[in-house]
Amino acid sequence: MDLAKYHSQLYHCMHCHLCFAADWQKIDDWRPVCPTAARFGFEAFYASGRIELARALIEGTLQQATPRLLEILYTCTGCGACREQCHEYSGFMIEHVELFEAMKAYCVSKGWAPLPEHLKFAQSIEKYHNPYQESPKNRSAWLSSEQFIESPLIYFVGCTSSYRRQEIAQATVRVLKAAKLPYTVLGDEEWCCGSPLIRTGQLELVEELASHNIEAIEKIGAQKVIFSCAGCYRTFKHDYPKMGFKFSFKIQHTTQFFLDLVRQKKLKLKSNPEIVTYHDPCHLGRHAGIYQQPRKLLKKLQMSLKELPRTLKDSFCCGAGSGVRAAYSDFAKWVAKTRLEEVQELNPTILASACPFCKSNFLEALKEMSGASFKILDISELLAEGLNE
Amino acid sequence: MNKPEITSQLANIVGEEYVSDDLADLIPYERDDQFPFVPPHRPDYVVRPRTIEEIQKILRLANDHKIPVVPFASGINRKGLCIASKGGILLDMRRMTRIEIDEEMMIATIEPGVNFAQLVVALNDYPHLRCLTPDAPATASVLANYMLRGIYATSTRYGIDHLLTMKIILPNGEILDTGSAATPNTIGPYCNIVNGPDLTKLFQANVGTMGVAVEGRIRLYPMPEKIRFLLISFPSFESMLEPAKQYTIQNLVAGVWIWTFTEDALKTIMQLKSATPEWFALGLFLEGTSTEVHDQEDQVLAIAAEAKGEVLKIPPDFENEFVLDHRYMRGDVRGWRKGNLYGCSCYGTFKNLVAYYKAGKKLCEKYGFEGYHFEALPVSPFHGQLTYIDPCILWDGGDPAQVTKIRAFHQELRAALLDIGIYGFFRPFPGVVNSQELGMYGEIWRKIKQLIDPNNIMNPGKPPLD
Repeated sequence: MDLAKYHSQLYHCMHCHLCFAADWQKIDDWRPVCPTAARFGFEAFYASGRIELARALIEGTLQQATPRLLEILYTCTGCGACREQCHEYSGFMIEHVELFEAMKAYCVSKGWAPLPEHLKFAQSIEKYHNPYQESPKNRSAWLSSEQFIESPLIYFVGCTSSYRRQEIAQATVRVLKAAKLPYTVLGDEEWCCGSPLIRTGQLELVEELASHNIEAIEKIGAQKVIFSCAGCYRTFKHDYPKMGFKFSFKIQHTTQFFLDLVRQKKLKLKSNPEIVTYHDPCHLGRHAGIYQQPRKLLKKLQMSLKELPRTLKDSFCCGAGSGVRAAYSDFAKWVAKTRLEEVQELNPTILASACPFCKSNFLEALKEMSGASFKILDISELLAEGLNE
Repeated sequence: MNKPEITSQLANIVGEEYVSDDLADLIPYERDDQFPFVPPHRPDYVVRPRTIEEIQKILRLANDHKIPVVPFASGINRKGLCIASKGGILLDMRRMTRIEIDEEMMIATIEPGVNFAQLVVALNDYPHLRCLTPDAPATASVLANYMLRGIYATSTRYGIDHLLTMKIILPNGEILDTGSAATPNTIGPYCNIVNGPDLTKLFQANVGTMGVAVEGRIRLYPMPEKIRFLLISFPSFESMLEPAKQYTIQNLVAGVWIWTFTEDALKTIMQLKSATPEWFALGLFLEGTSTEVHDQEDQVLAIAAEAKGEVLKIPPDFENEFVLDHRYMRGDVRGWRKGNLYGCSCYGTFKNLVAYYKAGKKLCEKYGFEGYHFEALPVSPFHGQLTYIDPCILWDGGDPAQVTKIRAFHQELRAALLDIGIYGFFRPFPGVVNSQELGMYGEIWRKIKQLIDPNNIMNPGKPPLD
């Protein structure tokens, strides 16, 4: 992994620490937006600190990895909040998350990483095409027995919704059926998109995964692929093209696709009187620029939407991303609890999101919180419940 | 004691979670934006104390073992002041964030980890009060900024002296309260008048070289009913000086920024596609009741018109945004849009402004720096024509050739400013302040430092013992 291309730009970080906090002028409050800096506090856990570490790696003043270095690099959830604050005003032009992922890949290339938990991802993906050590044959076990016709619309389910958050996949399919849209899934031909490997610096297998998935989709002649997993969507949208892959089909996240269906009156929705707040998943918001469609869907359900203090580009991560939940579960839970405490300030009945990782991590944290009375649901679940069938 | 033993002792004081001697934790503290002048150097330990008692114990330990200590308040100082040039303990005080507001006294008591954004937000509960925010990102520590005499958009009316008293931990671990806290049966620590000299001033502009400031009591000011921002362009640098002087002397404005930008600087900072070859403007902050601001505006515009000043029409939204930006101070980072921002700021006299401006411009032309931005601000009280001077260059620190050039440029500009005559440099940072040049004043300064810090543990390598 070549970090040298970033070298000259690294001198442009002047440690202003805008990267640490949500836009205090906009929200009229001081709230951290970088989970690691908020939790660990040492400069190394700020984006500015990681930038100095990148400089030291390139300049050779840091030649060995300590467990602490790996902790600093691998607790970064890759949420990209630092980038949003920094690029608004400063002259630092590097894409922060790209740099931090390159640093992890550098550690892997040096043999300092991956972390054992992340190595398990890679081994499982290589063997089973998913990071959960689940059989590929069970990938579509969440579906009731049903025969698919080859359709130009493919639902790319993703490993997490296939094996861990099946209610999201089931809700997605329910909405598709309500719209009377023929669709298909790839079944065991759907392989992990590679996101867990890219985010943890393990790039070796990724090209093969991308190549297979694109080929499998194009073989069916699909014109459009929809994703309920924000991570898979981001990987197809940004990482595959960055790796040089091109594909002819269009891609959409389900929040985009379902909003189109509602506008085309292909979906009829009941009114839902509950009070909802929306958590922007980092994969979907900051990394893919999809902020408004989920909110518009909630409004189509006539829900009462209360915005979190840290929202949109200022959103606070759920803590699950970039393999953090697997390797640093206590920290991941701390981040999620911090976010849920912010949710609780609004006293909603539902916390909605649009990413299976966010949901999993929030549910885990919620178990340890007393007095939280809201439900945590994916937008696809809210839509499925709100169908006027 | 060896390094692991020191680390262990520090962990006993603050807890293991708040100490590190791991290289990965040390490197991020080794460099700042002043790297061409203060070479990167890393501390041996980073400690994150929470209480005054912890800092006392740390200083006693450091003093016993002659270990350097570098206080670090919020970490955005770009003048190399927190670089541990001799190693030692870096005291990262960002956990010390206590704010107490005494509405009746118009005072806030703050710890060093409190930044301006936090204080501005805390003052939302007191809508008739405000703190004066500096011309710096609001992530800056309030105490560090006030202690090191920042510059504020309102300095033309309110000056730069917003720090009343401090609590200092001396190198031997003893506590010194610099003001009225020392008076028997004191009525409060809020006053720098005590039965003797003002010791707050002794510690002000000393960059953690005589102790650790752990608490400051600062002035709060009434929040004006109305704030207006006016931007008036002028045909030349010289033509805007008389209006600026009149605004200051007649107390018509809270702040009058005297600005020039080369085309490159303006395009870079404002992200414009095109700009005039050089732009001259006054940025004015008018404050008071609506009636006062209205009256001030009439007078300001009449004076500007005489000097062929042209008022730029600013859409109300933009003006409002600008006023808010100066309260919350996020946008100040725009100055770094070329990558790096060099400044050799100092205090000088208003009558020498043309000379200061031209000195910077001439050297920019000599060294080929296109992004020249000169700013100045008359400071209250205006006796001695006290004026803040800041010749700035937008440059690229990622280019080694420019690093070499900026070093040479700096030496020449520093000499040129001293030749013209200044009161003093903005902050006593290495590479600018040399106490050996200061005669008896420098000698006394060094003696005081040696008296208070005989082992020279406090931020060694910085003035006066650089």
